[in-house]
Amino acid sequence: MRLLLDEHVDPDVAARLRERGFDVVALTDDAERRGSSDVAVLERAVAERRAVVTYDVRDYRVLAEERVLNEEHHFGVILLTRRRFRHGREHAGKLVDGLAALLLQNPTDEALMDREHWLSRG
Amino acid sequence: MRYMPAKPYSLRLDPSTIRRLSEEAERLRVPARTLAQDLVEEGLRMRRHPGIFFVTRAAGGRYASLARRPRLKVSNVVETVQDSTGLDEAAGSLDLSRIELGQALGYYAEFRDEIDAEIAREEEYVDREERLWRERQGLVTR
Repeated sequence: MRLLLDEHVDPDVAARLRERGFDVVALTDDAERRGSSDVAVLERAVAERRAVVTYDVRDYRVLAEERVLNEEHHFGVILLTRRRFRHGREHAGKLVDGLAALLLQNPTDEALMDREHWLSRG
Repeated sequence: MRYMPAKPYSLRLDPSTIRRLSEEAERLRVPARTLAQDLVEEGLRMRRHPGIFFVTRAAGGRYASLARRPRLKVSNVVETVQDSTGLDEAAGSLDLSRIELGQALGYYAEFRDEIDAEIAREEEYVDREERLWRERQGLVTR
């Protein structure tokens, strides 16, 4: 499985996952796409067969459901809660471990196809 | 946005402005006077806080956000600052300049109750939805 980290996820998380050999990109790594709309972010993720990792639960659920209803598919939305994964670099390690565990359990791009997944700690 | 009880206020507007206000209110299915009040309030806030503007998101919510990073709400920045050890760490986590961070915190200083309420509403929603999802998954650990 490949991941696209949303704009409010620390880009250091993507770098640390790449160091572990996973295919992960962060929106903040791409200056041109930082101002993208919610729809454009999800479309990019679909085009690259990536699941989106986001704290923005409300908006991505709507967009993901719309895609499924329109039979357009997506490659998963991984939802983060601040209660489990606090923001800030000091807490990034827990998020890296949680995502690494999920990636190891779900190696194929289609593992979370058209589904949401609330991330647990690794 | 939360308002005090409204007071009458007379205003002359260009006919084309009135027409566009009516069309936009109809599109959004809100009374024109409500939309007008929102737009005046947003306009005043954006003048007072350059770098902040308002974005309607996919689920229909309208949020004070960073003009150069429209998907970053002021509340996202505040949460990150609250969870970080300092402002430099928070700025690094969101890949923001200290100026952009300062713009968001300046807005927060003036509208703190609103942003705190936004954060609380979001946490309540997320907690409830996650619990329901985990119940559906049969993985609940209380």
